[in-house]
Amino acid sequence: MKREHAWRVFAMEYNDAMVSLKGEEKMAPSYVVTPLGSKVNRLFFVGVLTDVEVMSEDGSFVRAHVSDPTGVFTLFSGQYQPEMTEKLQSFDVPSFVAVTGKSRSYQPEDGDAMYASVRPEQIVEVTASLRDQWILETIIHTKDRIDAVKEASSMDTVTADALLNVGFYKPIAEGVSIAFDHYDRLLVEKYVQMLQDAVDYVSMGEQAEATTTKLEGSSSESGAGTEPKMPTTTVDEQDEEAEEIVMNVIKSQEGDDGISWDEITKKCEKEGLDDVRVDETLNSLMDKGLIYEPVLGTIKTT
Amino acid sequence: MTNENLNQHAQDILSRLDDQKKKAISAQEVAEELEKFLDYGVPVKQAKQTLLKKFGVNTSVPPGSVERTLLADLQPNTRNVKLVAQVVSINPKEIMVKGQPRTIFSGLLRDESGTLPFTAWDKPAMNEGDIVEIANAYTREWRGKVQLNFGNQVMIEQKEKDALPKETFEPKKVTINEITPLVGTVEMSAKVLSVEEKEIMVDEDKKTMFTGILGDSTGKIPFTAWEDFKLSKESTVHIKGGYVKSFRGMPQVNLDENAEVKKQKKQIKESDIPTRSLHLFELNNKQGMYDVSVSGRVIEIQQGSGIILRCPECNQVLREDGCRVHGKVDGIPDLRIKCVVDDGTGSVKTIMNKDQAERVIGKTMDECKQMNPEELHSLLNESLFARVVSMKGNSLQDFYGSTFLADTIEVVDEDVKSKVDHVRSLLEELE
Ligand SMILES: [Zn+2]
Repeated sequence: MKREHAWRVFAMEYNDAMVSLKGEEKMAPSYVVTPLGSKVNRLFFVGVLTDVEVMSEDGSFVRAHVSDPTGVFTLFSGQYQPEMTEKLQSFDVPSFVAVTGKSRSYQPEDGDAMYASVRPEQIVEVTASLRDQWILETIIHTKDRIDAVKEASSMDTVTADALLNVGFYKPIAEGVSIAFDHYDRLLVEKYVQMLQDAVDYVSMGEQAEATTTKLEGSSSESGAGTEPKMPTTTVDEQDEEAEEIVMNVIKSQEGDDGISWDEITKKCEKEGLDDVRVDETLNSLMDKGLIYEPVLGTIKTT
Repeated sequence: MTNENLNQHAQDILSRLDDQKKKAISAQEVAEELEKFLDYGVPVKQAKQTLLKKFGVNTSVPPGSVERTLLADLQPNTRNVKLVAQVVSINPKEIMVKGQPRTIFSGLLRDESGTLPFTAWDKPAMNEGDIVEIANAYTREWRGKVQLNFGNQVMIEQKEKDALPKETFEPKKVTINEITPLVGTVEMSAKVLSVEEKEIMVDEDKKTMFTGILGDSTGKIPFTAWEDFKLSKESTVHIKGGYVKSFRGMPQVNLDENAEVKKQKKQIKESDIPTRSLHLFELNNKQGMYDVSVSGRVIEIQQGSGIILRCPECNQVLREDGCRVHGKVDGIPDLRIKCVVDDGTGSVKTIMNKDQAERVIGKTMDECKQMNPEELHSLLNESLFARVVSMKGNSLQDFYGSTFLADTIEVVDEDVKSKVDHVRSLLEELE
C-alpha cells in the first residue's frame, strides 16, 4: 500500500466537502473530496486547539477542535488509538498544535449531509510562527486548486490528463477532475475571499508583533540608561488600561458564540480607544493566551 | 546452421523440459537429435516442435500460430503473447518465495514501438543484445502497468538483426531529465563530473569498469562504462548508443562495446549543471532520482528514532533479542531520526544519521543518551515536527513510496513577513 501524502486544506474547504470515495477492496484507502479538488486521505494542519472533550465514561473516546482562520477541524480519537486518545487529554487549551491525521466522513442515513472529521495520527504543540507559516503555505496550495478549477471550467471535458497537459500537478489534476463532477464551480468566489481574509489575518498578527517588539526595545534601552527620559511604566500602564477595557467588552458581550472583531472595535471606541489601539490590544491579548479567535473575525475569552 | 546456433536451440528445448527429463538428457544429445531433423531440411521451428513433443512438453499453442504483438500494444492479462524484440538488459534478482531464496531474472526488452520490462522465473536462453522471438509469454498488471512474464511454457528463439526494423536500434536523443529506466538506448551530450576505475570479477575473470557521474543543463545521472572510453573528469562527451538500466531503482547510463563515445569541443559549463529541485509528488512518480533537492515539512517522527544499538559485526540495528544474524552481542549505540517529510503534493521517508540528527536537535548523542526515550522523542518533535527541512541527495522507490537518502539536510526557518508579500502578489492573479 503506497503511503498517502498529506494535503494542505483550510477547515472551511474541508468542512464543505460533500463527497467521499471508498475503495472496493477491503484495505483500499478512502478519501474525502473537497469542493476545490483535494482528494484527502491524509491532511496536515496547524491551528489552535480550543477544546478536548471526553465523550465516553471510560475516557476511551474523545472529541477535540482545532481552529484555523477559516473554521474549525473536528478531531475524533477512540479506543483503537489509545495513545493518541490519552495524549489529546494532556494538552492545555488553548494552544497552538500541528496535526497529521486521516480523513474521516460520516453520512447520516437520512439526507445528503456529510460530516468530514479527522482521526489524528500525530499532534504536537508548536509556535505561533509555525501556525502563520502553515496558513501561508495553505493559501498557496488552495490557490493552485482554484486555478485548476477555473481552468477546468473552460474545458469541454474535464479529465486529469487534460489538466496535467496544461501544467497542473498530478494530485491536483486528479482531484479536480473528480470534484468537478460533484460541485458547483460558483463556489470558487467564496474561497478566493477566504484566502484574502487568511493572508490579512497573518499580516495583522505580524504588524502587532512588530509593534510589541518596538515597545520592548524602547523599554530595555531606557532601562539601561542612567537617566530614564520617560518612565517605562507609562507605556505599560496604558497597555494595561487598554487591555482591561477590551477584556471587559469581550467578557460582557461574547455569550456562547463569541463577539465579532468589528463589534469590539465599535464598543471600545465609545470607551476612548481608537481602532488601531484596539487591534494592537486584541493581538497582545491573543499572544498572552487570554483570548482566541475560534473563527476568523470572532473573538472569545479562553 | 552454426554450432553456436544449434546449441542455442538445444538450450531452448532443454529449458522447456521438466527437471527430471533435463537430468536424463544432455544438451549435446538434444543438439544431435535436432541436427538430424535439420539435415533432412525440416525447418527449425518444426524440428524443435517435434522434439518437444517427443520429450512430452505440451505444445498445444505452437509459436507461429499466434500473431506477433508490438510491445506498445500489449494488454494486461493476456496469454500466449508472441514478440520479436532485442534484449536491452537481463539481470538475476534474488527474491524470497515461501521463506526460501530464489533467483529470478528481470530485464528490459525493446522493439520498434518502445521498451517493456520482463520477469522470468527461470533463466531464459537469451543474453543482453540478442534479438529474439519470444512465444508463449503472458502479461499481468502491476501497479497500473503491463508486466511481461516468462513462465515455464515460454519459447525463445534467436533471430538475426534484420528481424527488427532499423529504427529500433536508433538511439533516442535525450537530455538527462528525460531519462527513465524504460527509455532504452540513448544519444546525449554530457560532462563527465567524476569517474572512478574499478576492478570486478565476472565469471572468475578480472574486468575493469568505470563508474561516475554525468551532467548536463537538466541534471545529473550515474554511469557505468564496461569498456575503457578514456573518459576524463571535466571533459564533455557525446554518447551514441548508451543504454539505460535501473540500478537500485535509479536509472543509470551504461556504456558497453555498442556505445560510441566521443569528446566534443563544445563544453558544458559546470555552473550550468543544476541540482534539480523537485516537488515530492515528482519523486513518487519516478523510479529513483540522482542528486536532486527537495523540501517539505516533517509530518511524522517514526518509531525507531532516537538512540539505537547496532551489531558490532554487521552494523544492523539490534532487536530485543540481539542481532538477526549474530545473536547476542554488545551493541554499539547510535543516534538516528526516521521521519516522513511532506510538501502537500507528495511525501518521502528519510533517515537522519548521527551527525545530521545532532545538528538539527542541537544536542550531542551523549546528551541524548542521558534522556529517557519519551523525553528524547519529545525533543525530536519539538525540534522538527511541522518544520520545513530542505534536503539534497538521492531518492529510491519502494513498494510504500519513496525513501530519500540525504547527503545534506537543513531545517529552514521561513520568514513569515517576506512570504506574506509573496502570497499577496500571488492572490492578485485571482482577481
Ligand atoms: Zn550482526
